[in-house]
Amino acid sequence: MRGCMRRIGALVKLSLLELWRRNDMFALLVLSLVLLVPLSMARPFGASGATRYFDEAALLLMWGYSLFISLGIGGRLFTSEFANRTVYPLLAKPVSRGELLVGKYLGAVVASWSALAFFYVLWAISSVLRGGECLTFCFFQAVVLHALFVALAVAAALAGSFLLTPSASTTLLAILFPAMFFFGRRLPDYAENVSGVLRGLVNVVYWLAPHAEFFDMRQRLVHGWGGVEAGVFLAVVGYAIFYSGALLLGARLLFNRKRL
Amino acid sequence: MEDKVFELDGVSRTFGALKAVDNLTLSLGKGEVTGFLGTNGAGKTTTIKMLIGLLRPTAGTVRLFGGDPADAATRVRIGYMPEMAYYYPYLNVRELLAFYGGVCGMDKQTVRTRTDKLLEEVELVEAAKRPLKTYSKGMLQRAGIAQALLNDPDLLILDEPFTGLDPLARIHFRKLLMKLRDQGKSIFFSSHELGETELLCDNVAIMKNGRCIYHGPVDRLAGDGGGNLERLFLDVLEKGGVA
Amino acid sequence: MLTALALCLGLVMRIAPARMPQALGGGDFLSVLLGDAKKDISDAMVHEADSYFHGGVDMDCHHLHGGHHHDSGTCCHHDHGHDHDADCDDHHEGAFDPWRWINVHVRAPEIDRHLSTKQAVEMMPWFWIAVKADPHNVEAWSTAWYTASHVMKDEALALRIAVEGQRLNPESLEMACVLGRAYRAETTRDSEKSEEMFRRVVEMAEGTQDLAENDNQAFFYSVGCLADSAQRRKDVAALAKLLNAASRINPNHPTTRSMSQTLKELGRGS
Repeated sequence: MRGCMRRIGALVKLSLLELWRRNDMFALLVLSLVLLVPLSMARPFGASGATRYFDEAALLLMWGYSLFISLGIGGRLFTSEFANRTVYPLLAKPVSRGELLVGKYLGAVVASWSALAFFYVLWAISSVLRGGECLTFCFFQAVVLHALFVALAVAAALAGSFLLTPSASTTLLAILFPAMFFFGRRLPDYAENVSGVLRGLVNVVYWLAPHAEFFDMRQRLVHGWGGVEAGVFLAVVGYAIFYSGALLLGARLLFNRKRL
Repeated sequence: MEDKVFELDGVSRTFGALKAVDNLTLSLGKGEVTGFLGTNGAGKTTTIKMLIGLLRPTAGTVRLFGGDPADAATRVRIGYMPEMAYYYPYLNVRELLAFYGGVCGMDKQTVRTRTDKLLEEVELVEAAKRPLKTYSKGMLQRAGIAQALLNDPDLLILDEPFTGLDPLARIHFRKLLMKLRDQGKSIFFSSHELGETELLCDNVAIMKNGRCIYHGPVDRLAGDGGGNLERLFLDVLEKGGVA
Repeated sequence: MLTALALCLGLVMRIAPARMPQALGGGDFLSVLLGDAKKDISDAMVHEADSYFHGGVDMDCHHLHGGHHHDSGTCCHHDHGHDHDADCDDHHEGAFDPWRWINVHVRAPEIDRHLSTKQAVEMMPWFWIAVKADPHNVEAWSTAWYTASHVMKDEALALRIAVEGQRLNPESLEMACVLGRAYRAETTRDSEKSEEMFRRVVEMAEGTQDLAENDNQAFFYSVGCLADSAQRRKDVAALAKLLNAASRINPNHPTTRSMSQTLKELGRGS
């Protein structure tokens, strides 16, 4: 057990080092500053005091970044190992494929979470500086749900990288997640207005595609609605765990069948 | 007491219609150094992958230290270096070894001690803080050797270890392998470098079209005719076996 | 990859062919870049401002717990027709849909809420983007003015918005009326400029065949204000002229009838 934890710990540390030593995070940080600093200084029609638009823009950016980071890390997890041939010495060590998959997945999730935490801390600081209250129950719920979404996105990218080529998988997921995020809840209404194969297809997407919008508590955070009910929160947590687990299981089966 | 470090018994491996390894029987004794020779596509790498549990044979059995190489626990005693791997470019060699040490389940202190020793042996002390992306091919090979030796393995499996090494590094690496041989380690390596093989090995196994056409002592192969391994290797390949 | 893109494009065209941009807009960079989409973007921003007014609730998808219903009459001067359209999550009946259940509960506040006077400034950035995206979106200008004037009670801000909106839309009856109203506010009162704007509304209406609903309202509001002023001055000629103009547009409008009555009374008085 201890050895297993040590192995998984090493894989987690590797992902963290990779994320923070690549330039992605710093590029995102610079991009955020370029976008948000002028935005924070805007005085529309000369009126001052508006802050919610800034929070909304910052949170939307964070969602975009988290998707970019999690799909990037998740998609690269094994493809770079195969391309660089480092998967061979790794699997020659006393580590099973299952441990490797879980370790690398957890590493990617922790790395993505670290990036998310970094951006949420920045947002919280900016919120406090603008006189807002940020450490609310709703804030913690929002962070937890966002983190679970990241875990789901990493699992999807990981499973996708075994199923398709890395670029195809990342591109498809980069379309699917935002599409579900913005339009997922409207699919049943759309299905009602179409018929035949398309209706079936829309229903399949509605029931099977990952509902990114479940994890989106931006409105509650921006407008100070308060947290969601415990039952709903647990349902979303369960959804994320179940969906990520199913994707990891699929990835495990594909990894087992992968010819090395 | 185990006599054999590994045993391949009637092992075959097919990829669709292609028979990469065909009914291979091969073993390595404790403390032996065996060179694994053959032309490109002869089945050397496939055999090595079966040995370290990356591939399952379609027929026959592979035993590693008496166990199944697919079991992670069996691989505790091996060190493996692949042919030309590009190790994590954003790590330095110390971090690379710390990572592999963690994957092997080694404690931090042991990893640190082994790292200091190995970096001296592979002459990477001065470059230890540089990211691996700045390393030359030869330096990456040496880093690869260091990771393979990290857990002080009883069996060292090396896939084309001399590739990318300059003559000086080659001599140094040969000396390192000889030292390991003297320490009683078993070494199994594939190579196209017949000169190095001749200098290092007790035995050689020669593969052709997935079949082992010779497995025995180097001196027997070089033997009475007094010729070098290169000429005899070509003879064996042409004849399909040793008389 | 190309197949996936083609499928996506096909799906989009199938879903919303009528919403696809049909032609490029004006000559400026933003117009060329956005084409007809600028109007949609601008409208979407007004819609966003409206949802901000309702505490972030998208009124097209509004659903409250406990059977509350939103009182649309208390929010904006514009009736956006807050009927629960096809986007709503709570109009479906039949089998239990867990995904819808989650969405409804994650996206709906437990209480009905509106921005307070002080908080209403939060809507301004969206109006600002709306009028930047499409400076000729008169609804965006007038709603921004209304919010500043009636919700935020900031008459100076309301006047700034009205002036700029009217400058960019000199042909709009509604904007001229809005500016006229802005000059009638307590702290920014300028009766001369206010009447000048209202007169412009009447002039523009006289040259128009069929007035749109908002323009019609703007016209009768302007006529009513000018009539009040004429009545105070006992200027029968001006009143008669206004009555004439109003009768041409709608002889049965309450303002027309009221002016007719006033004119009769003034005639008797003199």
